[in-house]
Amino acid sequence: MAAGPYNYSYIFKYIIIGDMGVGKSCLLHQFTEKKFMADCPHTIGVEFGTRIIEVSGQKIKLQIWDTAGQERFRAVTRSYYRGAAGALMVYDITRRSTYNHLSSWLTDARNLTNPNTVIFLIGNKSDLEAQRDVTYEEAKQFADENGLMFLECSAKTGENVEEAFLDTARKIYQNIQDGSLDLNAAESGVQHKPSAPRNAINTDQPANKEGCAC
Amino acid sequence: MWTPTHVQITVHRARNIVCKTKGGSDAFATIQLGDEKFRTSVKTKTSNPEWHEECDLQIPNDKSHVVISVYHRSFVGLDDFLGQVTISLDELAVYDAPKSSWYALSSKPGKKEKHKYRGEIEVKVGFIVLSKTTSLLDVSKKKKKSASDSIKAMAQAVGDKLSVKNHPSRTMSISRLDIIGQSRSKKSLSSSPQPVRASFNISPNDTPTHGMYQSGSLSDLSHENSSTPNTPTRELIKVPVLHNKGKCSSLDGKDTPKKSQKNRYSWAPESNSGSEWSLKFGTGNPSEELSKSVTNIHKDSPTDFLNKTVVPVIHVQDPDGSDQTFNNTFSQETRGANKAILAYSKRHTLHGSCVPKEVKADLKEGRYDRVQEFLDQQRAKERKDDTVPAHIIDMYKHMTREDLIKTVWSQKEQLVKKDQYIKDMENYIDTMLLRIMDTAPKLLQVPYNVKNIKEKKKK
Repeated sequence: MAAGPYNYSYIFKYIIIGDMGVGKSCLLHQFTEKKFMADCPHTIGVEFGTRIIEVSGQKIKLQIWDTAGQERFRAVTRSYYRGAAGALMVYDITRRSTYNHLSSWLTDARNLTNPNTVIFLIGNKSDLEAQRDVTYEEAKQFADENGLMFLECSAKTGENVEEAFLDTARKIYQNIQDGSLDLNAAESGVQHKPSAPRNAINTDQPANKEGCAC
Repeated sequence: MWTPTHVQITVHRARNIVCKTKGGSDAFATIQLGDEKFRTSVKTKTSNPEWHEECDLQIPNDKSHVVISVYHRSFVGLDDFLGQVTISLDELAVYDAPKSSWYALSSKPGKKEKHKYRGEIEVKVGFIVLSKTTSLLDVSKKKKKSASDSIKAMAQAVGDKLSVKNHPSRTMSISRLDIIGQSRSKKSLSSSPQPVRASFNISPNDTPTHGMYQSGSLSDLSHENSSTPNTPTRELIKVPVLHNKGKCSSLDGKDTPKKSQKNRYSWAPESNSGSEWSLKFGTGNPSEELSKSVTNIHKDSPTDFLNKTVVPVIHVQDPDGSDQTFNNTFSQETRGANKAILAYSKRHTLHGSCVPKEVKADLKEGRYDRVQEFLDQQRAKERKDDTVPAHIIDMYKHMTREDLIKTVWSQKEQLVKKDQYIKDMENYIDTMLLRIMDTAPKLLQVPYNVKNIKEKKKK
């Protein structure tokens, strides 16, 4: 089966960032498995999940990286951010502190990724409306001021989760079409169709190697 | 002239005392003045015992002297004498604030080896006036149960205060007491009922002041104990129970007779030695015997003693500073609430908290029920904070203060080591992750798929 023709044209690298316990791993799990992990353990270290989606008739493989929320200052962080085409910045709508920390997460994202990285703000746990601590309006305003895309989601019910991941992909794809995202740049976070190998250009990209080996 | 009725002796610590066993001595001190004798708890295996225990001794006459002796507790036979110090009261200025000094321990008088070095002992000596009255707080607490008793006690208390008022010559002395008796009143206000059984021995030697104050004090209100290890001669000895310095975990007035075994001690918040003392007391040392007898007395007169508590009159003062002490028109409630608030605020000034403004306002405007409510809340809170499960106490109660410090210290060291270890592990994981991300990121994919990787290898 792996020997068959590649069934996607691009690989996009995503990262998910945000405070501990905002539901980063749950969002990933919901998106890749379409299931909610009720008692999700704390993430230690780094891992990623994949899923193939379709944007404008193109099959795109999303490689979504997830790390522990408390690992902001670790050496691995730089490597984690490097070459991300999309960054999902998550806060918890029931905990204001997680919202208040967004600006520092945003600074990290801006500093450690390339300028074309699409940053998508997600207010998670929208199912817990009764415990809401951050209004939609103020988060929307924050997103607008910083040029971020924004949605409120629920990893539990799955509401808006697909949309957040797909909207990000569409925006990245649009950037490729515009020509504003240079695919040949080492840090673009996007690999072109593995069937037309570009090994010479992107040897340092882990996703590339993976794609070629399959 | 102000004449103190009592001398307050605080035995802090001793150093370089003679070692009777390998690790030091099982040291305790006795404090004697006239017919009264007190003893401290036993500090085991140390040559530098720390007691921080306090007692009040009635001054029989101004020529008397306090004898403090240090012994090594011996399970067989008589306790071993380690040294003693004699402090003559007439050499000390009664107006001075209580002060601590080191005294060299000497041999028993009449012994040959007079100049043998036996170590030193740190003792604080202060002069105080103690008088007998009923704690109004306690009265108000117990009002419902025994109304007639408390009214009687009330009348007595009021009478006492009025008698103070009626002696203009004493007013100066009283205000002095505010300063000198500071630490005393802190304790007394928060201390709990003491058993009353033994006679109030007003001896003919008593100073005039004494008589007027209706002599009687915490130390007087003692039971007689006829079998103290140190005095096989069966002479009568005053309550050998020392006021323990340390944070007050039990609270005024509210305690049931059963609990009050713990409450024999009075407390002063200025000591930072914490509640170790409460653990130390009544466990595994000769004073156990004595505590038992105290409990027995409680059983004998469980209702009686609650109403006959001793608290100095001196300190009934509005927390704002305006002195209402000798106002003839005071009411029972004012007194109780004022006192309680004062005790509360004193207890808490050192903890950084104080009486909220609203409560002060309530107090001024006479809403005593609200003040009482506030105090009750605070008490409930404190009680909650202070409860340590019994089995935990059992685990540590045999340990001395030094043992405990050692334990805490070693735990701390372990924690530091573990923290470092965790840090190292994290750094290691970090490096490994970096390597994996650079060379074989597929390993990090979830769900982890062995099959794919094996197939990859085959190719």
